[in-house]
Amino acid sequence: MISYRFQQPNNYDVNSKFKAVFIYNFTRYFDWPQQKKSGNFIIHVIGKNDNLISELKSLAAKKKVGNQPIEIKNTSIFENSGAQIYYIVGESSKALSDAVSKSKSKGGLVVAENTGSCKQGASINFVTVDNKLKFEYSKSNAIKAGLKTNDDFKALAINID
Amino acid sequence: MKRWHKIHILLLFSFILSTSSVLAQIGAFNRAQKLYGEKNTELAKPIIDSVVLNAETTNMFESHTLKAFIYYDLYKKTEKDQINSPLRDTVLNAIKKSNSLNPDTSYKINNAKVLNAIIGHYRNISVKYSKESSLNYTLSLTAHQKFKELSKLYTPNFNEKSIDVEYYNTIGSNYSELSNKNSKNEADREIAKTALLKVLDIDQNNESATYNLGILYYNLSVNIVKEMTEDLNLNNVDAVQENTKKLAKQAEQLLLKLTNSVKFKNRATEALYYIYRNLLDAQKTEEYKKKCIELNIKID
Repeated sequence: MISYRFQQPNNYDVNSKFKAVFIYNFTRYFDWPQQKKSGNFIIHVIGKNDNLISELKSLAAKKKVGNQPIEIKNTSIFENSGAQIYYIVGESSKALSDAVSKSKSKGGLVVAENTGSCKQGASINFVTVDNKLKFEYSKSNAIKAGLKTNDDFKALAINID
Repeated sequence: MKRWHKIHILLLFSFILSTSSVLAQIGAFNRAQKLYGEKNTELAKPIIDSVVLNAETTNMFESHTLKAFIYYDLYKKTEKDQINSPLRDTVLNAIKKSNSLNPDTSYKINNAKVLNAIIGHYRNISVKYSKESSLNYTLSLTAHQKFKELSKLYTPNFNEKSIDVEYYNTIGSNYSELSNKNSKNEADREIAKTALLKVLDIDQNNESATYNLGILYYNLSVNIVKEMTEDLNLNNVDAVQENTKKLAKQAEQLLLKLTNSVKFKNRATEALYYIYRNLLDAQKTEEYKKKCIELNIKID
């Protein structure tokens, strides 16, 4: 008898990688205010998602946004870090409303992952469509946040406005 | 009278000649056997070669069995791990010849011992090469075919289907492992996939092949994402998502067949949890998370 092994399923979370790649792509379609174009490009994750943090850190080690090194911050509640991107994990509406209000006109792109988040002020919201990760986009919310937008982006998103 | 006398002398002379020739060949046979016993097979080889060619001893099964043993010894020293071995071929021909001469029981048993050893060597070669890269798969397959050919001839009740199922499951498992290290390793993956599909062709309910093929599809769906560059533009990300989803769905269909299997229930349940998580199916992810907890399966 020959003995053969059984393969193990890989527990890698593909959607955290997709999200990280999406987030990095988002930086190509927005123009941040001048004061946010120097120093580190901060992606601030609010809430717990170890897989996403790990993917973003791996991205930050390899890539820059323009000439700006990428810095990943992670806190359990909203803190005004002056980030270029705030990512709200899960369903925390408090974190979302804090991020939206504190980054208004200050160039903070708020990205969320909960149903109806664009209606609550997020500029981008990840949704699931047909077993795939897509994103809703509110151009008006991005403008309110003080970002210049690129209309090409609308063609890639589910537009809310 | 004188004429009869001459005939008698001629007959006697030819009898003496033929007897001495037979005795000479028997002597040669004994010398070869002695040298073989002393493990001096290099010297025994030319002697036994002449013995089996000689008209007096060519029909002695003992000569052919001794030739098989002498060549087997030489083969073991130099060509045992080779797919093509002239020495092995000589051993097999000598045994075939010996068996055709109606050998007695002890010779039959000795012939079978050598044959079984060679069958085992083919098996070992097929297994050894099955663990290496796709470059050696053909060698493994050739050894497997030779193993089957000989087994069919000499092994009573040889079950070809069951041997093929075992062999192709091994190939599927080994090459899945190799391809899992690199999603771009298409050659190894194709070998694994073809082997596992072959098992399912023979036995559509084979659980090992169903499981390993499911995991092959699923792990590939994961690896293409893992290896995706962060520079990929959004349109291409969508294409990757489509591809990974298709593979995960193929895996799902296979693994769902195993949720009631005694042997694979736990493994399939765990894999399905990861599949549904990656397919962003919140309801099924939750359902399989609960099942994993019930079955004491550790998930992240």
